[in-house]
Amino acid sequence: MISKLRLQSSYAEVVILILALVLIMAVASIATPGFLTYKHITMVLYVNTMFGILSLAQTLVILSGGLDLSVGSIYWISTMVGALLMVKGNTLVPALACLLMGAVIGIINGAAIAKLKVPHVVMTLAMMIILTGVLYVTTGGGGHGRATELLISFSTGRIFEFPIISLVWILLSVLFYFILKITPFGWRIRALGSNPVASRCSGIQVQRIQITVYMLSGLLAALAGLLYLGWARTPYPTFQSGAGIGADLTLKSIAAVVIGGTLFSGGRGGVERTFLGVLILSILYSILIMAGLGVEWQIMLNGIIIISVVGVYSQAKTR
Amino acid sequence: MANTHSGRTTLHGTSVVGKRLLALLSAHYIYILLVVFWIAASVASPYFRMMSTFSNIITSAVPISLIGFGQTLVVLSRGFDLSVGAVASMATAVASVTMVKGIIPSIILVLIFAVIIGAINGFGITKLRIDPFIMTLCMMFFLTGINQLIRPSPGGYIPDDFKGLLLYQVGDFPLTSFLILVVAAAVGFVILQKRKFGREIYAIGGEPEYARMSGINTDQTRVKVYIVSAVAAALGGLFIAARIGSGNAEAGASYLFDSFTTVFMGGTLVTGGVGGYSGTLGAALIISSIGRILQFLGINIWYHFIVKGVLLASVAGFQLYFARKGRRSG
Amino acid sequence: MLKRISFTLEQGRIYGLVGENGAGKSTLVKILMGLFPPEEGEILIAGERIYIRDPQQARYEFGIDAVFQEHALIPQMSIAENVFLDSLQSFYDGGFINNRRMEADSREVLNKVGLNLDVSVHASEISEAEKSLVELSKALYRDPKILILDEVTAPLPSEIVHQLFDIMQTLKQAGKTIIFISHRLHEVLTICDEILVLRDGNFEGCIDNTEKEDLAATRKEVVLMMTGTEKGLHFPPKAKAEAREQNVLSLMNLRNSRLRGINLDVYKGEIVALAGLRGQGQSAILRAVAGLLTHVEGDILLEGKTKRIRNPYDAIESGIFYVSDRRDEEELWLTHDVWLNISLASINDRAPFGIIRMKNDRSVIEDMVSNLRIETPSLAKIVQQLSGGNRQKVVLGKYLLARPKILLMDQPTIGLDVGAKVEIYNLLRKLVDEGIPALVVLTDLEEVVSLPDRILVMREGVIAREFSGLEVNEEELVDSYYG
Repeated sequence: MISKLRLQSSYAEVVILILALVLIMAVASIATPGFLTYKHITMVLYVNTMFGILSLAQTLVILSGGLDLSVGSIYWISTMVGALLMVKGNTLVPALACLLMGAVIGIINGAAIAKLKVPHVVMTLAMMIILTGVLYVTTGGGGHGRATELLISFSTGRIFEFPIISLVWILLSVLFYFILKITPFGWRIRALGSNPVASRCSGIQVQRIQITVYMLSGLLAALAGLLYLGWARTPYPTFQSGAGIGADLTLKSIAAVVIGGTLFSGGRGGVERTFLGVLILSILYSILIMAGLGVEWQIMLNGIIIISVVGVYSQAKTR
Repeated sequence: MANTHSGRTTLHGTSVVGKRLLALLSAHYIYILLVVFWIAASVASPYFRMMSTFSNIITSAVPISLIGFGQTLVVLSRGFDLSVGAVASMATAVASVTMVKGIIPSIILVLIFAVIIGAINGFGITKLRIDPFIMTLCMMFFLTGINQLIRPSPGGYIPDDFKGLLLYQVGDFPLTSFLILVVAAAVGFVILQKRKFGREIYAIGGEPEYARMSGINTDQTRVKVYIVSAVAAALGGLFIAARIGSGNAEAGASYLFDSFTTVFMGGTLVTGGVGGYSGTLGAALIISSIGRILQFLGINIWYHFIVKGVLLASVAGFQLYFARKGRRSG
Repeated sequence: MLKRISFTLEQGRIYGLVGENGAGKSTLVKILMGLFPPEEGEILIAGERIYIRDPQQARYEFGIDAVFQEHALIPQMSIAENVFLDSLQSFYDGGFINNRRMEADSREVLNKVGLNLDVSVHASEISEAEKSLVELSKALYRDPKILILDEVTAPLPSEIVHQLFDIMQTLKQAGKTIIFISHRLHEVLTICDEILVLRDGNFEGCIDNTEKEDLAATRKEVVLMMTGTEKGLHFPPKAKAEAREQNVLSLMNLRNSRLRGINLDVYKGEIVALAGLRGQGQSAILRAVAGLLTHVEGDILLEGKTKRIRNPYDAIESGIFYVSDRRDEEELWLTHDVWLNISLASINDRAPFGIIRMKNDRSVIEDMVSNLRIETPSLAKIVQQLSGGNRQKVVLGKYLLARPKILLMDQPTIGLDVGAKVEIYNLLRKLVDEGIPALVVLTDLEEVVSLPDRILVMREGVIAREFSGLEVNEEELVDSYYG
């Protein structure tokens, strides 16, 4: 029954997501008065913009049937390298260099996955490990370099009191929403996530699309890193869980996509769903912080949420 | 009588005997690699001719061999266990807190926790139909949080007796470590080749639906696999605790990737159904040796990460490449 | 799925179970094997009600076993292990599996069906027919009281089928009950004592065939019950004369590991069939031309020009469209809707500057849906929820929209019921008349005889004989299969 509903109308799911969002906002405003003010909401958006952009990247990859475990690490390497390069005062060239770097890393991921047939999980995991090592070897753990004033003002600037970078995030989401909805490229990504074999048999150049998707993911992750740099001025990456740099961010991005329901949709999910997922999680995290629970709890919560949501979806799917 | 003349099934011209020999060799190529590596290293550097170096290699190979044992079974059954590192860390954390009350009870407690964790993993994967990757990933993060709470910073107490026993050496030769490896190899061989449990794992990994139709209780076997994985990881963690002499919530984390690297390098296919523990063990020794060399050369520890990452990617890639070549029939 | 099934089986008789695709045969078997619980109703053995939980129970407690067309052997495990997969513990010797004993025992089991194999090799290394026989021997070894054979004759050469019938007779004499499921009515009529007919999930009736006389009349009765009509299939008329106007496709010395030098031509306005026993290379030809196989040598000419086809993209670019027999795996995006499934392959035509003109696209797809009479409430319907016939039409719609120069189809009517089949035949003929020729792999004898304009019979990777569609004789045709 549930599966029929699911497949027939993804609108039903989006409605559920919106309801969940409303619910959690209600809870939040009860827990912290003053939550629903424009100021506070824009602050929540602001703080979670990077998370949002990374989740956007993850959505693209997951829609195409893959998984990118390296987004968090690409993010950090972009931040660190950007900081080092911007010491000279130039903004544009270092920024472009970081974006290029992110894209290239993504291409390497995509190429290994598409041409060498290394499984998505293994390759991006390996990339995360490699980047962790590279990061430390080249930058010695943070605290070097500094963002330029231009970048800082961009990252901290506001238009009508609305953070510029959050606007960037929203615009990117809208852009990719349309790409997925009305361009052949977007359709092909979805088809790939639904049935790679049939896609190939129907003449879709699967390898090209895979590489492009991972490139986009790397690009977006690098962009997010740059935006973060402007906010942090000098980056000090936190090494949680020893698993690799940025692992916590990566997990969060996966969590957002999972909550949004795109993970098991066979190419039917979407950017808008993940957006809602990001919002829900952001508010959830801020509730946690208000309650005085530290990062460990956030991590645990991610795990529990993903499990519960996935569990429910899996049950519905197999009925 | 339909004699289908398959006594000598031929495939592209090679005879069955020839194919079997090739299979045997390729199944154990890792040891050939290992021996070649050691010989080359010994020639290249006097350091590698010392017993203490080998002692080090064998000892540091123990945790990864134990953790890799569980992972081998999991991957063979077409699964992933991303929680092994966190389980190992859990073992060190719990041990560091409870061993002060008694070594044996502490060990039992750790193992009980491991069984529970494995059972939860197994339950989520079989009854709730959650993808193994997701289930164990979330378990990993859940445990990471808990580990931080149990042991926010490295420390705690690991009794000298315990350390002494596990790190016992005869001269320069690490007796206990060596024995552990031997026992692990034997257990691995017996279970995978000679016991129903192990054979069922291969069946499930090879063709899960067919295994089910043939009457194998796939759910039950899978749950057992994840329990074994958690217990093996916990044992690995206990050894780590002995080595570092304390509890550490991060101690096991890097072993996660190592476990996959050794499993894939050892010839177990990521798609399951093919491979075995002997390869994993050999790969563990190789990785341990490489680690030693890097350390000796004074290379920054972070380069280890890079090397391991590249190794993981290339091994997985080559494996699939050769697997595809083998199956090529136009 | 099943609406009302009631019948009684007796000991020592062979029952045929027939019905079209979707009639409910597989579901019935799954229920009997404990893979599926029935929602209502009861199963009684010797008057006692039973509940079947899982295949193990079905086999060992109730003595019900089934052999399916698709083998369930684990490829990387040895044949011996495959035979005893669910009872490995019985070979424990001091806690370790005794491989020697297991291999010896498995050899004995295989001998019962006349198989002499090296049981230590991996199951992947024996032929399909051998695999089927291994499955059969597994079931026989378990000595079931009720044995179900579900479409097992398909991969077997006819000598083996005769052997199978002998075994079935022996079992019958020993008091076993056999349910023989096959869509090959001539087989059913040969061996079964009674024929149970299912239609649309209902049990239509039981036809006695104990004496096995006047098989033609019995056959008519059976078909009538199965389809509700007297005739089976209606075929559209073939092309009048030899339509050798224009050469569309030409294959010259096409070779690979399965094919040994194929030379064939397809002209405008004709349907050419590739026939013969299974696995003689028919699908291989199509897949080679479609770019799905590697290491293919030889020349492929389209409208006189040589084409290099390395992958499906090349094939499609050239206008060569391949419709696979594995619809769900290779042709459809089951989780997506009708719209995307039909539109995607040719979407570039309706997307100037990389942006899809949605309104335009929508109306084009709607036209196609109505042209092909695809039954769907809307374009947004998920393809997974469509019936087999409609799915196939969606696949056709996908390719038609892309304006093929030639259609390569592998068993286009596989898994479809009579009504859908007829629609496909008519569609195909219409297309061909409009100038798009078709090279089709057909397995059903009736189709081979009645549909195509030319028939190429394949044997062991070569084209053994050619028949004209207008003058083909069924016996001669089948003879040519065997050479």
